[in-house]
Formats: sequence, C-alpha cells, structure tokens
Amino acid sequence: MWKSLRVLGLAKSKAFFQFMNTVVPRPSVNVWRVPCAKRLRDSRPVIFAATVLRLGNATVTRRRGPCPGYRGLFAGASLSLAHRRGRGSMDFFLWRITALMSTFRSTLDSLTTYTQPRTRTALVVVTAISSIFVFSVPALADCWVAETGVGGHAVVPRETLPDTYPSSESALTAVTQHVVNQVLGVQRCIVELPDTSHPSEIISSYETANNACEPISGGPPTVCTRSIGFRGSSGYYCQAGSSVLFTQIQVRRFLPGDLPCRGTLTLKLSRPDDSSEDNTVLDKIEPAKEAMLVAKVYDQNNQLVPNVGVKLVLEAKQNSGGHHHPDDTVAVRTGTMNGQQIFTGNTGPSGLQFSYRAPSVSGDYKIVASCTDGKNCTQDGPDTVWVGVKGLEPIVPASDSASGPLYVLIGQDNYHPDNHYLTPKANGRLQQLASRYRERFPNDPPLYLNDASLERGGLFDIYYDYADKYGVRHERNAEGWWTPPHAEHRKGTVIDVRANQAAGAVPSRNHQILMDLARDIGVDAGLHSPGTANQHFHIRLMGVAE
Amino acid sequence: MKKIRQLSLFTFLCLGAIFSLPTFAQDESIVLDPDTGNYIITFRSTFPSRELHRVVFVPATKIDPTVKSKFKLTSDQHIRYEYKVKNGPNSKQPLIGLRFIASKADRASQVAPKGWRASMIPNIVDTRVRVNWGYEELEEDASAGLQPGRNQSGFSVGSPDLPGIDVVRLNGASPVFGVPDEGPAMDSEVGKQLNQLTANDFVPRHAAIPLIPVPNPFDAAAVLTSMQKHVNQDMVSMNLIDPAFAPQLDRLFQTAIAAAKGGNTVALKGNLKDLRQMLKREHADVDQEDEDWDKDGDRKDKEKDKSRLIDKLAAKVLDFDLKYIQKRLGDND
Repeated sequence: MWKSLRVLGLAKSKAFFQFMNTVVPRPSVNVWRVPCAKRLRDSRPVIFAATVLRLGNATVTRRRGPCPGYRGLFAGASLSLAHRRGRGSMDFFLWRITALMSTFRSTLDSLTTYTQPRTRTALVVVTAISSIFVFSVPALADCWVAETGVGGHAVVPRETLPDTYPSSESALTAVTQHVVNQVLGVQRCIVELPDTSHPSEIISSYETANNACEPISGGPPTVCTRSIGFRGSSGYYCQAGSSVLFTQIQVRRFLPGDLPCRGTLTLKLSRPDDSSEDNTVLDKIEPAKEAMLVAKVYDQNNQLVPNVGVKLVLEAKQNSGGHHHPDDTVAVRTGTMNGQQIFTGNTGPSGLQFSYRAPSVSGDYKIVASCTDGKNCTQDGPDTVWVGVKGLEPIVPASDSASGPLYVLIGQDNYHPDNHYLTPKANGRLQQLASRYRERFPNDPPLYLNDASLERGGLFDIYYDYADKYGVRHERNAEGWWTPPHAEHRKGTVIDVRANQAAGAVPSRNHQILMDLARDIGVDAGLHSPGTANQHFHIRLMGVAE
Repeated sequence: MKKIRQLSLFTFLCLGAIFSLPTFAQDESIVLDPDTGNYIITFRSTFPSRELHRVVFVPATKIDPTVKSKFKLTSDQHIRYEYKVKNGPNSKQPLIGLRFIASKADRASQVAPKGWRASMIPNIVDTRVRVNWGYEELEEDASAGLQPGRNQSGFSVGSPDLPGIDVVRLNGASPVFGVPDEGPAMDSEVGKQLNQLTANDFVPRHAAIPLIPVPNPFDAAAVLTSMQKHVNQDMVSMNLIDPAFAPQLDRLFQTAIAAAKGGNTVALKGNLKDLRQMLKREHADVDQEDEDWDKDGDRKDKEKDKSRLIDKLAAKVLDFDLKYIQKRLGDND
C-alpha cells in the first residue's frame, strides 16, 4: 500500500500530511516520536514491537528525538485517552478514524526510513496490531461537571452543581443559564463601602471574551472556563468607576469511575430478558406465585455499569387489590424478594437477579430501588408488580321481566367495597343458577349474593367484630388483618348466598331444591355455619374447590 | 453390633412410615362409618371460632341404580333417546336425579315423567349442554323420589347427534350438608378429601347419549373420525371394549375414513359393512331392538356380556351410527 501511495506521490505529499493534521482530535492517539531512527534500525523486531505495545498504555505522548529529518513515528492507541471518549458518539468515531490514519501515516513514514526487511516486517505487524487495538478499545462514558463562582466576583456561592453533562459545551451552557437565573434581579454591590452602599439591580448578562478550555499536553481538555459579565440597572455597582461585575464558571471533565459521573447512573428494574409489562408494571403474576426480576444500573449513555451495590425495598400501594384497610407494611401484604422485604446485593457483571414472591393478597407492589456504596442512582422505568387473578369481572345487576331482579348484591363494607367479582364462566353459571332459582321460586326473595372475590381475587380477609363464647371481643383493627381469611373466594369461582334468618335469605324449605338446581348446572352448593347467624350457602360455581 | 444395625434400620423404617402418612392435623380426621355409609368429619375451623367440630356427611350415593337407554331414528333425521331408571332394591335412598352432558340436544324435545322436572342448560365451559331430570316434589317431602326397588321410564330427549357412550350421574336424596363456620381449611387434608367427596357425590352409570356430532352438510369422514376417537379414547378408558379388539376396529375406521375423504363411496360402503359385521360377530342381535327394555335385567346377562370383546350397548351404539352413515350414503342395507 505504501508503494502505491508513493507511486501516486501521496506518501510524501505535503497536502496529504496537511490533511492528516486537520483531522481532530489528533491527541487521541499517542504519537511517539522515536528519538533516533538509527537506534531502532538495529533493534530486533520483537523488542521493537514490545516497546511499541508498551507505549500503548502511555499517557504522555510526545518525545522529540535528535535525528532531524528522519523521524520514526508510531502510533499506539492510549487506553487512558480512549476512556475519555463517549461510546457511540461522533467524537469517538472520529477518534478511531484519526488514530487509524495516524498509524498508517507513521508507518509509511517509517518504512521510507528503515530498509532492513525484518524491521519493515515488524513495522507492518505493529501497524496491524495498533489498528486492531484502536478499533477494539472499549469506550466508556465520561462526563462534565460544572462549578459556579470559581473566580471573579462571587455573585453566587461557589458550588458544584449536581448535574453532569456529556460535553463541555452543554455543561457551560447549562451552568451559565443556572447562574444567570440566580443573579438577574438581585440587588448587588461589588464592593460595599460605607459611603457607597447603593445596591444596583442586575438586569442583564453577557459572556466575556475569556472563554477557554485547558487541554492537557497531547490530550483533550479537562477544564473549561467561561466568564460571565453582568450589568446593573445604574450601569455600575456601588463602587464608583466600576461597571463590570463578572463571575467565572468552570466545567471539569471526569472519567466514568469518578464520583461526579456516578450521579448520572440510572437504576432500572425489568424481567431477566429486559422486558416489562408496560411503562409502569414490571410483571403481572397471580397471588402466591413467583416472578424473576433483575435490577441493572446504566450510565448516561445507557451502557450497563457493572458491580454496583443496590438496595430494593417493597411497598404495597394503598387500597390496591380492593383492600381499603390498613396493615400494608407486613410481608404477608407486600410479598418478599428472595425471602426479604428489603433486599440488597451487587449487580455483578449483568445485573442483580432476584425472585419476587407475591403475597396471597392481590394488589400493586412497588419496588423502590437505590444504589448503595455512596453511589447516586436515579430509579427509572417500571417499578410495580401487578398481583392478581386476571380476567375477573363484576357481577352486574340482572333482572327478569316477569319476576324482577335475579339477585341482590350484599356484603360490601368500607374495607372491601367491591366484593362481587367472578370469572366470566363462573359468572355465567351464577346467572343460570339465579335465573333457575327465580323461576322455581317466583314468590320467594331472589338470591342474596354475599362475598364472591375482590376485584383481583387473592386472599379475602373479611372484617370481623364479634364476641367469642368467653365474651372476649375480637376486632380486625385490633388483631390485625390478612388472617384468618375467607375460605376460598380467591379465584373468582366461589360466592356466598345468604341462608340465615336475615332478610332475603334462602328459606330452609328451599335448601334441597337449590342444591339440586345447582347440581343441574355443575355447581356445588354447600351450607356453611348451619344453625348460626352466619348460615350461608358456599357455592362453588365451577363444581370444584378453588 | 448387628443388633444396633437392625435397631437403626427399624427406627428408620418406622420414621419413614410415620412421615409418609397423610398430613392430617392431629385432631382432624375423616372417617367412613361402615355401618351407615356416612363420613364423620372432624376438623378445626380456621374462622371465626377456631374450635374443633364434628359433622356427618351423608353421601347421595347410597343407591344402586341401573339405567337403560335406547335410541331410534325419527322421520326428521333426528335421534330420539329414551331412558329407564331403576333404583335397586338394596338402595338406602330414594333416587332423585339423573344428569348427563350431551354434545347437542333439542330443548323442546325433552320429556319428563310425571313428578319429575326436565331441564337443559348450556354447559358454559364448552358448547355442550347439560341434560337433567330431577324429582319434582323435594320441597314438600325430603324423602320423596324413586323408591328402592322401583323403576321409572319416560325420560327422553331428541338430538341431531348420534349416540355414544358416556356417564349418567345419578344421585339419591341426602340431607343438606352443612359445615360449621367456614368449614375445614382448604389446604388441609380433611378439606381436600371433603372437596373430593362433594365433587363426586353421585353414582355413575353408562348409557347412550348424544355424543357424535353430525355436520350439516353431512360429512361421512367427519362422523367416522368422531366415532374412531370415541372408540379409541372413551370406550377403551371406560373398559367397554377389549384393548386388543379396539385396534382391529381402528384399522377398519382408518380405511373407511380414507375412502370417505377420497370420495370413494363404493369402498366406503364396503368398509362400513365390514365394521358392522365385525360388531355382529360379537353380538348377533346388535342391530335388533332391545328386548330387555321391559325386563329388569339379570346378572347372568351382564356376566355373559363381559366375556365379549365389546360391551353390548357399545356395540349397539356403534352399529346404529354406522347404519346411519350407510343410510345417509343412500345404502339402505
């Protein structure tokens, strides 16, 4: 290739080298000028290659040799510089291209210098290795952090702003706006002398000329400074003769591992395959079932950040699942993550995987995630697990034109206001049963339907307030919720029908017939608490226990 | 040393036996009383009293019923199904209900004898229908129903579908069963067994019921395929056909289906004849009217039937279906 270029007159063409030099940012590649070509001429290729490779990790980039006119130029990609480029950015792409071109150019240059075949072979090998290295350098994201009030007049207190930015320009723009917003309208003196204390209101701002980014030798800039001037309403600020009030802001570049850059970490929860149910719900599962979930930490370029400590805390959404009562913090309500309500761990190389075991109680359960080890993470994305039986539908009022309503819904209370949910098939059978009962006993009250299931099924903890046979009073809010619950009534296939002495109850003379009518349609009707005030039919609409 | 080893082994076996027992709570049990046939259930309720309760579950299965079924083609190409039920003399309960699930049936065609009610209800979970007859006068007299030793005919229903064999569920009159509080815990062993008892609280008997759909327009291949499936799956599992005989029938079904699908009517008619002859070899009167309809049926006949490769009713049902196909194909043999 170098021969081809030389034939074309490009290898030594001034225009060609100028073109090479215009590509920025050149310092991304460590260019090492070989002190003297002669020294290398006799070197063994292996030693030569090793030397070049070793220099690949160097951060200091340039040494001038004592052999004018015969410079040996070799390029090695620098890890340290590579780290300062954002992956996937145009900047980083240009860096790769520049590095590659510099490498080829240096090789061409050197091949014209060295004539020994072994040395030339070594040059080609080293060039190839360098090229591969340049394209295999992993790019990690860095960030820019802004400080206000670093110089000039302290119009705002010196502070490091918590936000980070992907470039110096965006950081400068943002922080300038921040400072201006804080300062405009403020009554301010530069120097408050006893006899000239007439504050002037700051009414406008302008950038002064001394914008500067300070590059390191051969590397990209690490600190940029911008000065902002302000004007007062009276044209000067308290002190006679001075009309300039200015402050400096500074943005500083940090590497991904540096503390400021960690502020942009995002903590996301998902299923192990990175999917979720929607923008808020991670997964939908049935009560007492398990779901595998994973917590992952990403940087501002949405790249996975490994080995971050993470803390996960479970919270039950109030009133969710149809339970309008307290006691939301216990594990029976929230479920557990790997057996715990608060779970901590390290994300390792690919995220922190954990098993969420849903409670028997339906509801919405939020997982509040944060980073530990001093890292500042922001939780983003879906964070809630939906627990319940899917597809339940409410029992809607129904009536027969001849005999009136087919049934009456009872049993709602402030703690469980929606207690009449069933599966569509169970609901169909209920309609059949109620209709047949009404048809058979048109002069008796229709069925009085008590608890079925809650809106999402799951454990149904009925409210109680009663005295036992020893006269001891029992009340839910004193003894705690969730247990003991209704037997069944969790999957939308069971409903209670009033059969005691209260209004609307199925009279005892109809009990046998009701059970027989139930049999006809594949429904099992059993009498619970016979002879008590709680006597009711416990009706399994699908003919089997839940 | 040997003794110690033996002792260890014995202890190990004892512990294994203890842990392999059903996990009843110590004070809970469900016991069949051999004298009464009732189940005595002892359980500790979970809500609200948490007390130990003892209740008696009287199953509705203290009957020894027989069901006879017959079927005939009507002039409108529908099939009329008739049933006669006998409550055995050894029954301890009056019989009060019989039910089955048919593939299809005509609601208006259902007939019940005097004192009985008829009902037909969609099965909700699929497209089939539940066909029921129940004793009407339960409200006034809990002991009413078909008394032991008596029989009752007059149950009938019409359907466009051809007969197959399935279970008819019959139940006797039993008192309303009630459990204190919320009953036993559902996840307890007593709770699970009680669920089994209530879910299977009937006596099953085989009878001919509408099971083989007849598509409109008529499709002989579809009907034969349904029959083949019914033989291979249902009849074999109900022990109505010898497992060695079923493959013989299956081969002929396969040939007939292939002929029907290929439109080879001549071959199909030949296959149908072969199938019918195979059935006739087992039961010579397979294509005759049921002579036993008015008899009570004795055990000798049943024993005789058991020695055959296919149950007589099953053979009659299949022969009827094959004959129906022949008729639809214009073969009036």
